Amino acid sequence: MPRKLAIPFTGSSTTAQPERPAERRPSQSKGNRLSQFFSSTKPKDQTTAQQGLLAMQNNPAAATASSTALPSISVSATTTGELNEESTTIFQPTDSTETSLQRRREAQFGPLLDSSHCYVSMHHGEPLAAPIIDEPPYYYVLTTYISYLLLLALGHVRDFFGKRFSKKPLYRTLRASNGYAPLNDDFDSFYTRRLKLRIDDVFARTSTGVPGRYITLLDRHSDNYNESYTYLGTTTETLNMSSYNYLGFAQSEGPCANAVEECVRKYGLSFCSSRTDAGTSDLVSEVEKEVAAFVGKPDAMVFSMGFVTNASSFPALVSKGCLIISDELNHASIRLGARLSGAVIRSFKHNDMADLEKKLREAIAQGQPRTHRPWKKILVAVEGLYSMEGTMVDLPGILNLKDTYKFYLYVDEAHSVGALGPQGRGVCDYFGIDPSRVDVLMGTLTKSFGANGGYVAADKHIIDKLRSCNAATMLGESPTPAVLMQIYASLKIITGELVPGEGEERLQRIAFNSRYLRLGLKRLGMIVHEMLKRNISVVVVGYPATPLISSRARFCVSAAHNKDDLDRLLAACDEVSNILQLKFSTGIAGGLKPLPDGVTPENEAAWRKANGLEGVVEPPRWPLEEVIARGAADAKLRLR
Amino acid sequence: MELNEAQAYVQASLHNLFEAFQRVPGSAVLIRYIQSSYQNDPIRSAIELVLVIFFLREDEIDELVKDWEPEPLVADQTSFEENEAEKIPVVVGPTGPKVRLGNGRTVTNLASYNFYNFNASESIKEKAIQTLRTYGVGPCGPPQFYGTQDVHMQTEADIASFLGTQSAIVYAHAFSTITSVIPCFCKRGDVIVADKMVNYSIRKGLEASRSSIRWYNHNDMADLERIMKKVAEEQAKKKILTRRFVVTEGLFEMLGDCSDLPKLVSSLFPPVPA
Repeated sequence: MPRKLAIPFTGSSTTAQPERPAERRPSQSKGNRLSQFFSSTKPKDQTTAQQGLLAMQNNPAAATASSTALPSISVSATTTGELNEESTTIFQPTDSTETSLQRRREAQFGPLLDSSHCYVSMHHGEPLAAPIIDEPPYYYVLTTYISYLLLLALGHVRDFFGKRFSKKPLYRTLRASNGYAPLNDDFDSFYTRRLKLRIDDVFARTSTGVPGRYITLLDRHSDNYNESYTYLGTTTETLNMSSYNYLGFAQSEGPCANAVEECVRKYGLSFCSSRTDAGTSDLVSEVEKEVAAFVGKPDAMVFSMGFVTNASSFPALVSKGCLIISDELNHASIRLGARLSGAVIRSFKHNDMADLEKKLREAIAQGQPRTHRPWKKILVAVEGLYSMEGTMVDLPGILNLKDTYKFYLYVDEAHSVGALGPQGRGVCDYFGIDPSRVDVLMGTLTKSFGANGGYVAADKHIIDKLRSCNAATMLGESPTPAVLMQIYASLKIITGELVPGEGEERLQRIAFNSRYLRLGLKRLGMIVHEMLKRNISVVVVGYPATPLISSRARFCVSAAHNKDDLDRLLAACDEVSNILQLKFSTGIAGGLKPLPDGVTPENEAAWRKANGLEGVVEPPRWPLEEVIARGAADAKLRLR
Repeated sequence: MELNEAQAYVQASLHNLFEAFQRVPGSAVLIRYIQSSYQNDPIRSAIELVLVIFFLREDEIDELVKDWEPEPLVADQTSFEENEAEKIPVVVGPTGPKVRLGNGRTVTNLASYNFYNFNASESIKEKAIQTLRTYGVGPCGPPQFYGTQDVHMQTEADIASFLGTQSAIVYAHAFSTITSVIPCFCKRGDVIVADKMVNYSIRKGLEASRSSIRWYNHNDMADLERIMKKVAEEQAKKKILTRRFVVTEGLFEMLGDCSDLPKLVSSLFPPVPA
């Protein structure tokens, strides 16, 4: 439904004005209240932020009242694909600005439709089964390879002639001329030019507004096969399954945004300096304290970019003579950090504890290559939740090995912090493991907290040392006040200190949503990599992040979605996958028909034996209606 | 005498075997390695020999594992570092030409890069709040995955027109910008000639690029020219042509002086004849 929407910041920048006075009105009143705490006149007061937020806690009625100015009694019918919420809203606010406010709020954070749509994310003690990788039939694998071969062959033919005869600027950077070597190696850039460009339209769609429950995309069009785009000036609002907004903190109003507004008024926009010069402010120290307390470590440090957190922490921890054993699917930032550190890097098979143990024994027994000196130290680097496969790290398994092999453990919780565990504190929380058993906990603040940047948390002496030898802290700029306040306020909401109950609801909604969606997709017959948490404006992920033939669509689930949104998504997936013939799953990875009455999961094996059904797996192809009808209840049971 | 014959036979065959071994390519290297390692540490080479003859048994590995004591994850802070850490000022409230410190004193601030004090500009703050109320705080995704918003594109276009370039990219973190840009263009095998005084993040970028790096004396154009010529000659001799980059800074972070850009451009990159 494209509708004309003026883009703020273009030209006069007053285009977004008409809406503004109305939307800011409630925040002003709250802002005044907050500002009393923020601009507190006590000169030695270093905990202004703390007080400001605590005050909100002491006055929860006001805070909640303002964030839910209107009772959300909306039985919205978003499943129809059109946004006709007004038509089904039982309670019709009289004021039209209130209506648009309400609509706006719900586009950022959907109302919870039923209190049963919540689930507590935690490990129930069952052994962590190795993920079952279901493969599509050979016919499709083969045709995928053939398509790629065709594209590769075509691309090479075009390059061959283009480089020799064409005058197009595209080829200029590929040719040597005037004594200059070509700026791009044709081989290096081949994937980008010949494969990705064809489908470039699906990547990096430009959006406007808040990337919350819905996302507003700018409509664009390309006349030259995606080399450049012309923007049509219209926008389309879509269901957002593409943003890392696990807890739905991408909001332009509510307690977080109010706190941030006050903070900008007080602190300005930047600290204009690195941490060791004059960039250490009271605010940053306080946020570090809160982050440390949240993840359960004595101390923490925050960085202004998640990628840099990894890239700069490894060189500060390990050096020549040390060994890094890294999971083969670790993120690029870990690999870059490891490379910059100068340590020897080995990798082990993804989440395979037996392989890790083998590598550890070999490393300790053989010592450093050639000299055979013992390693100074061994650092095992893993991720809490792997972004591409959706698998969770076997933390109990690794900790068992840690006791024996005395390595140090670095867990990257970029995707898990804030999303996993009953209290949202990451994998340790999920497994019920004391965080002190992990040496270094790293995570990003971009995803669950709706802010930006990353943190490293560890024992005090480790962080003190890191502070004095981490390049990004010494020379890189300090995070900005707005970002720090967003982190601070969202953390307080998650812990329940601010707007009690809301944090818990968000945590339980993301857990329910991801389980519901995963089960639904499996029942429809799709191969689901995502394991527990993934939020739909779909992300298309391709090489080099994934193997060449297994490019995938990723759904990033958020607490801001409700069941209606997910049902809409399931319906869309059902339709699309029928058109594209994507229902490949064989059923070995789940989504099976429920067991008949009287048969429990425990005696399933016996029942199968009795009925001669051993090893028979019926490919799941549930009708959509049944998926939706049964999903909510079944998502809370053990998934099958 | 049977015994004598046997002894001669064994000797002859050993001699043959040794000669055959010497004919194997690389054998000399192996012998030298064993000899030198024996000289450095006879016990170690003995152990290695044992390792070769008997593979490590599982229980031996267990013992090695038990014996191995890693160094602590981080070394203790040096007293210098402790001192430095203590001296870091904590700024309370906003930064500006005068700042209030954690110890209650208000001091003149000569440590922030706040050239125009835009940090205190009310109109910019107002704009920021307006943006906050339209977009929220974080874009919640990397640029390639729906993290690009119209504000980003607009900012990029503004910067490009300000600098007079065709386009621009905005990075989230100034410090890592150059570190990640250099490896995008400079690959393994390329040659980078860099000023000796470039800042830390440039150095990290150079390191990450895996190119071969030459250094020229700070702001010494003659030295740069000499090195460039040498590189060109070397490459001409080997008949290879790689990308060659010169990396320098506009205003040096460490020294505060400027590159001689006009000379740099005119002497090294003469206008290409049309």
